[in-house]
Amino acid sequence: MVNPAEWFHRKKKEVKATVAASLAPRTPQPQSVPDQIDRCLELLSQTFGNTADLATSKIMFGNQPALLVFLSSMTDAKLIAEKIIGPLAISKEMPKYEQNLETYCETMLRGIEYKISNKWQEIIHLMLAGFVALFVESSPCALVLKIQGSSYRSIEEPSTQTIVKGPKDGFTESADVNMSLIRRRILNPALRFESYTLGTETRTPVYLAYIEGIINPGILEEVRIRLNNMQTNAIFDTGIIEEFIADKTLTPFPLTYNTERPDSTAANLITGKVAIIAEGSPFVLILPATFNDFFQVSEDYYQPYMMASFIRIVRYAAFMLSLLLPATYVSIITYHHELLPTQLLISIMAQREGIPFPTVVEALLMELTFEILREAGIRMPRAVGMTVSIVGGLVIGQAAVEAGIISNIMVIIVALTAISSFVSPVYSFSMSSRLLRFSMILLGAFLGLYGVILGLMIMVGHLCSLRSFGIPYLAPLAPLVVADQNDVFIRSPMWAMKKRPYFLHTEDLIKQPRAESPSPPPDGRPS
Amino acid sequence: MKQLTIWLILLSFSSITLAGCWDREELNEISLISGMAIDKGKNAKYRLSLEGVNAAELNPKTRSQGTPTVVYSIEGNSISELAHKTNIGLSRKAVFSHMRTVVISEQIARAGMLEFLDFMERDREIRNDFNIIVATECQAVDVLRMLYPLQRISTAKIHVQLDTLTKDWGGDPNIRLKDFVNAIVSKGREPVAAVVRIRGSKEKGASVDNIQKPTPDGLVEVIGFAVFKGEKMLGILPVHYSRVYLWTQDKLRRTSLTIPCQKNAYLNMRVYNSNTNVEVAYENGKPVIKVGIKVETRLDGSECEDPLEKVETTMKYETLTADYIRKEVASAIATIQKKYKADVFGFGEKMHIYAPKYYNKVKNQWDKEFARAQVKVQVIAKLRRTGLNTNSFLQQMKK
Amino acid sequence: MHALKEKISLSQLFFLIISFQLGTALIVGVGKEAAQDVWIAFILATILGVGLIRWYISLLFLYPGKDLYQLLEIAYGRKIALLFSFLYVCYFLHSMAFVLRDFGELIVVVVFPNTPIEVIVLTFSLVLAYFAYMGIEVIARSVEIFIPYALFFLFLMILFLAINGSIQPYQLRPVLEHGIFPILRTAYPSLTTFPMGETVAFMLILPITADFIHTKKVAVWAVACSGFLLAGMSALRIAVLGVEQSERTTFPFISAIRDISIANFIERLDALVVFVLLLGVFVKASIYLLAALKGLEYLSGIPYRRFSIPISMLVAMLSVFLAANYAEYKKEIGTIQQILWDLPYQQGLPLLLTIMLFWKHARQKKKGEDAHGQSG
Repeated sequence: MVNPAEWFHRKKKEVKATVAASLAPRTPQPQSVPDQIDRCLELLSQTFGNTADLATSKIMFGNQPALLVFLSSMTDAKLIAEKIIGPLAISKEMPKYEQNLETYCETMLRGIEYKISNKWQEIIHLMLAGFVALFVESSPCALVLKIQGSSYRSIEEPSTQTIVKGPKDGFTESADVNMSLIRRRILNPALRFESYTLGTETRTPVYLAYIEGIINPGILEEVRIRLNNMQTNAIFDTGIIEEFIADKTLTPFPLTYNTERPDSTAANLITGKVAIIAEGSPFVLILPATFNDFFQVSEDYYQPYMMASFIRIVRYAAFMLSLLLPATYVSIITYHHELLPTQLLISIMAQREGIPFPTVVEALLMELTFEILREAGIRMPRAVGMTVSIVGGLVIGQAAVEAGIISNIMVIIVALTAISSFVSPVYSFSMSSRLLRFSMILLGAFLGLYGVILGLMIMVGHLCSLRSFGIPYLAPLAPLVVADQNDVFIRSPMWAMKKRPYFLHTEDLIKQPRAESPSPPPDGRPS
Repeated sequence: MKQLTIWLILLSFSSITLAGCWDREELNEISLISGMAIDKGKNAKYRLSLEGVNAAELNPKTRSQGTPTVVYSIEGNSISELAHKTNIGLSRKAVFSHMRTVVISEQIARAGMLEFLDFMERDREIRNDFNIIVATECQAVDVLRMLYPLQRISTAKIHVQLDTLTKDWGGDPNIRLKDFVNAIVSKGREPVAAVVRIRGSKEKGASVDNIQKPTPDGLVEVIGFAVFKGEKMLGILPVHYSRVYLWTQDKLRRTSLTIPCQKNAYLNMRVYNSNTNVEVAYENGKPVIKVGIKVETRLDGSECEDPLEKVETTMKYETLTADYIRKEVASAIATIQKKYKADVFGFGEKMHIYAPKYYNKVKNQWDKEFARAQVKVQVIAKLRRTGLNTNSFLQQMKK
Repeated sequence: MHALKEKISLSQLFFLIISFQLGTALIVGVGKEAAQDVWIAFILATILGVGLIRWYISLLFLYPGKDLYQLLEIAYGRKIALLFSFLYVCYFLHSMAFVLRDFGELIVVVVFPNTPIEVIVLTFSLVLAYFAYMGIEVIARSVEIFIPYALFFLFLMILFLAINGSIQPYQLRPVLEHGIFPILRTAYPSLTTFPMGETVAFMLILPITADFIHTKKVAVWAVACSGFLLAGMSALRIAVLGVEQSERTTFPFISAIRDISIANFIERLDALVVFVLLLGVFVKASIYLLAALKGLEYLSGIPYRRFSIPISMLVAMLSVFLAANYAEYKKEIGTIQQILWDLPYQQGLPLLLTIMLFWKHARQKKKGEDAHGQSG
């Protein structure tokens, strides 16, 4: 018999060893670039193996043989032929003193970013990023030229967070394109991008964007620390980064905000937040996030403020509705039927005659069915997706009512709930309301409205205790800052939003010091 | 330690789920009771009858030829127990939160056996929004059985009927449970109630055929106004006493008056706004009650010969109306003073407010004081408009 | 960034005090002796209550940053302070049990007649334990979130009562029918102990407030506002129900709300009102719980979060054992109990504390002056 404690400790040691081994580098890498190009070729085949996308070609650099190496999957061969091989061919006629790499670069290469390096790791790293490496015989350095032409998706309308009036470009999978989309909107040298390489296997470039002079240095420092402490082997989407750096509390609510829209990102940066852009992901993370961020859409600021305020209130109401409606219905029908007016109660009773299930079972069945429908609607191929999901919802609902399994009013309730849950602009947030809805239904079924209110209290208490990078999650509602209420439930007119939100503790609080409300000048005189 | 805490929390949670839910009442397990009727029992103190609603019948989609309500009677000594014992005959749990009317038979009212009102006040299900009426010339349960084409539940029909009658003519004193009980307890006020009777046939009115005829065979009618003293009913007065009662309470809003202006010719006035001011005082050892009524009227129909465009006619009609109202109110109060000696109008409570010292001395014999009180009624009537026409075509005919 | 000390803001303190005072005072019918003049008694009690809280805060100002238990230690030394702190902990837990019992009775009578009261009290205590575990900041923030809706609901109820025509001001007359003595007898000790004097629990919360200097103004305003609000509500209850009915109902406010029936649509609202009252009960119970937990922390040195679940379960049990039936319960909160049990904690011990503290403070000042004079 194995002693369980001993076995446990032994297993622990084994796991530790495996982890340590996996973190160690695979093969020892040389430090500097060798002089001979043959040696370079050997090293290249060692590093990259026999990978099919490594293209090597021997060319002449002046009088020296040189080796042009690039990863054809990361660069554009046409551009290479145009921009590099062309000038190199001319290099044959260069006078001798110009056959030095540095002078060649200064004179012949125009408009191409280049780097002369003698560190092997750096050259490999740059090659992976799409640079072209030129190794010249009997030269200890290599020339790395930037020809980035890997294809990426063109800029289209974002698939989530669509708006009616406003810019319609969305982020793509290429981090460079994303950075350019942001930079184009904030033509300000204070906008900084810091680059990180995360993921031991994938070595994904990740960029941290912020505006110097606005961002609170404490938040910035915290983000940097967390990014540096990340230990993972693969980054495919900012969602993975999110799980590592968000505050570690057990909560169904997302603590970072992700968006596909560059104008939203730019607005958040100017307010005093940081953005994290990852290569390969069209979603940009914005931190710190508060509860109210998930109810704001950039369109709120492009439409007139009265309409925007009304729609915003509708959004909050829809969230509460999607959370509480089935639970309230179940609890009222089961425990508190005296709350309903007599006529309504009689018509609901008439509908529920002959239904074999108790109300709570009906509600849970319908909600589960809807969840399945919704998930199927997303995963189905586009061609059949639309039709099947709508028809499926209607047909299943209608057929179930005809068969006498559920009542009409339950279909209405579930449909209303489902539609309300889509009003939240950020998809990850609607997930939290879906999770909570089930527990509310159960609470309502066991303890009636009292249970629903208790559940609500626990939820609010939980929300109040959350912090995202030190900012209370429910700011500016709790702790209450009256000056910041101008952008929570309503949107004050643009000329009234003079200050940045207080809870971000930004360095520079005043947004527009001289803004005044446009009003007709007194006495009809021109102002 | 942490484990123990988690265990304790789970245990206490399971106390909610495992033991079952105590207050669960699924909708298809309950039966809404719309009306209650209380008669004197033959073998016991009370006979309670309940009118339960058949929900499927009331929905146009699920309607078949069945009856929309079920009436069941049971005898016993306490209404509270009977209310929970009805499952001797009925199938589902009776739920009283949506009750519309409570009908008390005349026998019970005259005997003053109204102790069940305590049960109604105490129970959390029974609310304050139902009417209390007295049924005369029939059993209270017969009132529950009358089916009516427009409102398929009898007591709901009565509820709507009384409501509209109060608002449009003032024929129902609009008594709720709270008013009734407060009037019984208070020394300065006595309870009142509306009185109904069945016109036509009791038996034929209780069948579904009643709904299928344009003139129902049996119909519940409001015929009067009951005066109580404490818990005992003293007598029934005609319907216009309800109107006088509402007038003194400043609750009358609209009513219609038919005033004779000549022999066999009547003036029809529609009162659309009414305000009452009651002042009580104690003068010369006698309570003096002044009732000041101000009404705004419009002419609804005229058979009289006076030209309606002239100001003099208006003033004449105003005087006629004021006199008519004054006579009606004064004679009604005088009849109640003499015949029943019960202060149903709440003048005693007003005396408590305005002359507390005097009232506190006599409050145990206030009814006798009320009987010898001097009541002055002053009415100011204003005739504002005459509708779409000015002069009547009857006058033009004669020209 | 800053030290991890809990702080609540002044506006949170304001709302906490208002919810605390409104807590169970709206559920239970107090001041029945004064008949229709109960609102005058409330106004008098408010004045006394304002005086009480000013007194408590001035004690706290003597040694800023110290709460009740630490003040006891300064005044009496550790040994006696331990005894008094233990007594105060018992007092707070006992009051919390009453609050829970009040609420449980309300739910069991009005909303869930067949549910055992243990279930209600137990689930509520679990939620309270969760909030106490998270600390005063979370409680204060949650109150900030809920208070607008609770107050709006309250206002809506009053509006509905007015629309329904239930408010009959003549029932408030004649004023001073039985003279001034019933009013005075009700105002002290009955109303001064409940709900006014219970603010002694805030002596634990006030030191945690940011901007400590302004707490006096804020607290005084809060007590005054809630006191006048309660006076208005009691006047409303008499105006709607009348004196006789108000004397015989168990829960006067609920009975008043049951009257509302507008357009056959807005009616039967008492289940909803119960849940608005839940906020006040929640605040009251959690403040008491926190006060008791801080006392335990002072007694034992263990951070108070550890105690939250066991203590709240204990109080849940205590609230059921308090009284076997309603008559016994009425006796428990009767006047004699108030004089023997509440008054010593709310006024007796603080009086002794005041004397000791002022004496010590004066002695310290004199010592400081002497030392200063010598060194200078």
